[in-house]
Amino acid sequence: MKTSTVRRGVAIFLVLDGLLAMWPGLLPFNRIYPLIFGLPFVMAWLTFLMLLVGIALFVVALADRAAGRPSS
Amino acid sequence: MERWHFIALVIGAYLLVTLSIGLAAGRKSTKSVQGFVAGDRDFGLLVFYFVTGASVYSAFAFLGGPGWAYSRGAAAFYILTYGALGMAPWYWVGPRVAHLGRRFGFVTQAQLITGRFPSRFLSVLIAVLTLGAFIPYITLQMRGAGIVIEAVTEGHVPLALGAALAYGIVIIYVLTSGVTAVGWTNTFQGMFMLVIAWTLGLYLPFHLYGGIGPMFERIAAERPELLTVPGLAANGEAWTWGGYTTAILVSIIGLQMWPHLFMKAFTAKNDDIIRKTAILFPTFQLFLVPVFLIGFAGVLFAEAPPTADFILPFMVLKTELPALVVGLFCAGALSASMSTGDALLHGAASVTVEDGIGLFIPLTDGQRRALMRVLIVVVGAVAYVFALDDQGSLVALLLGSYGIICQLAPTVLAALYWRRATTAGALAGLLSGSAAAVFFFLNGELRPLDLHEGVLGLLVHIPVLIVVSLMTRPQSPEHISGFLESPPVEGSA
Repeated sequence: MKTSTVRRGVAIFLVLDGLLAMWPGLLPFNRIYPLIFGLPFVMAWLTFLMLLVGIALFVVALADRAAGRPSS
Repeated sequence: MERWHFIALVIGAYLLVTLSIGLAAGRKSTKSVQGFVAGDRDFGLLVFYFVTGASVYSAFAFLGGPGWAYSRGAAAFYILTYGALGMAPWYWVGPRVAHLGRRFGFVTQAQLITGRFPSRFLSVLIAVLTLGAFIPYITLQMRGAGIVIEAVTEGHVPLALGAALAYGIVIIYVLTSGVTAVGWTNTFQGMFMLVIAWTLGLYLPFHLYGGIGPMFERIAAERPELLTVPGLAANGEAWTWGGYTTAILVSIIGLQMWPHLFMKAFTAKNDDIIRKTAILFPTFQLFLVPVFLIGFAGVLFAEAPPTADFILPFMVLKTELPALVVGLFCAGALSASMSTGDALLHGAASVTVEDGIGLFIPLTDGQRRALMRVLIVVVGAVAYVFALDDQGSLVALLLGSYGIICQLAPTVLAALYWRRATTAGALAGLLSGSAAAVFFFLNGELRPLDLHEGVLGLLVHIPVLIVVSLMTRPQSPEHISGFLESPPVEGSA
C-alpha cells in the first residue's frame, strides 16, 4: 500500500477516534456496566481509544519504513 | 525516631539523588546558548520520552487528577482523551519543526514563527503570552510541592520551607546544566512518578474495597452520577457536554503549543526520536488510570479532605501506610511537580532572552546564557512570592491560559503549511483570537453552549488569519520555500 494512502487512512482514523471520545460519538458507550477489568465501561472505552492512537501511529511508522521514507 | 523524621529522610534522599543527576547531566553539554536551551540537539529516545511525559504531566495531574476524579468523577476522563490525540499530530509537525531548527538555528517557538513572519512585535507578543501563562503555572507547581511536604511531615516542614527546598534544588541544577539537567532529571522523575502512581492506584482500591471492580460497584450503587461522562462541574452540579467536549478540543490543540513542550522538538537528536515518542506517548499516559483510581478510592471515604486537591495526601496519611510508602508517595508527587517546574523555569528564561530582550539589545552568546541564568532566579523568586499566598484564582488563571496558548496553533500551522499566509494575517489572527479568548474567559456567562473560551477564540482567529492574509501582499517565493519544503531524507540519523 502506498504511504500516502496509509497516512490518509490513519489521519481519518485519528479524527474518528477523537469523535468517539466526545459528544456525540461517546453517547452509545457512556455507561457503567459491564465493568471491564473492574473499570466502568466508559472509562475502559476511553482508555482503549487512547491506546489505539499509539497503535495507529505505529502503523504509519511501519508504512514509512517500508517505503524507505524518513524513518531511519 | 519519630515517624515524620523517617518520612523526611526519604524525601531528603530523593531530593539528593535528583540534585546529583541534575548536576552530573551538564558535564557534557557545550557552554553555548544552543547547549543551554536545546541540549546541543542531542537527546536520545529514552530521555525524550520521559521529558515529554514528565513535562506534560505535572503536579496538576498527580494531585489534581485524583482531585478531579474524587470531586467531579467522569469529568476527569477528558484528560485520558486529549493527551494521546494532542501528541499525535506531532508525529508529522515535530520533525518539520526540528528540521527548521537545524536549518535556521531556531531554539524557541517564537523564532520559528517570526522566521516565517518577520515581526519584532509578534516575537515580543509571544514572549509576553508565554511569561503570562508560565508564572501561574510555576507558582502552582511550587505550591503543590510545598503542600505535599507540609502534609506528610505533619506540619513540621511548613509549605514555605518545603517549596523553597524543592525549588532551590531545581534552580541549582537548571542553572548548572540547562536543558540537559531538565532531560536527565525528568527521566528519573518520570520513572518515579509512573511507579508510584501504579503502586498506589492498585493498592488503595484493594486495601479499601477488596478490588477495583468491587470499588466501582459500590460507587455505582451510591454515587452513579460520578461514573458516566460528562460527570460533575466544579460546583457539584452536572457538567455539560459542550463544556466536556470543548475542554478536550482546546487541550488537543493547545497541548504541543505550550512553549516548554514545543521547544523540546529542538532538543531531539533526530526526527525518528520525535516520531517514536508520539507513538509511545499513550504508554506513559496510561498512568492516568491508576491516578483516577486513587481519586475514586476516596469517594466513599468517611472523612473529606479540606479541598479536593488534597485527596491523595489525605488518603495516604489516613490509610496508615508504612512511613516508607508515605515518603515515596511524597517523592512521586515532588517528581511530578519538579519535572514540570524545571522545564517551565528554563523555558520562561530562554523565551524572555531569545524572543524579548535579545531583539533590542545586542548580546553575545555568553551574555545571553548569563542573562538566562539571572532570569531563572528572578522568575523562580517571583513565583515563590506568589506561592506563599493562598490564591484559588491561580488555578483559574492557568485554565484560562490554555485558551490563549491554543491560539498559537493556527499561527504555527500557517507558518509551516500555508503558502499564502502573511505576517499581517498572522498578527491580526493572534491578536483577535487572544482578545476573544480573554473576553470570554472574563465573561463566562456569555459563552454559547458552555463552549470553552479557547474554541471561541479560534472561531475568531482562523477567519481573521485567512481574510487578512488574502488581503495583503503574498510573501516572496524564495522566503517561503525554505519553510514549506518537506524535511530531506535523513542520511545520518
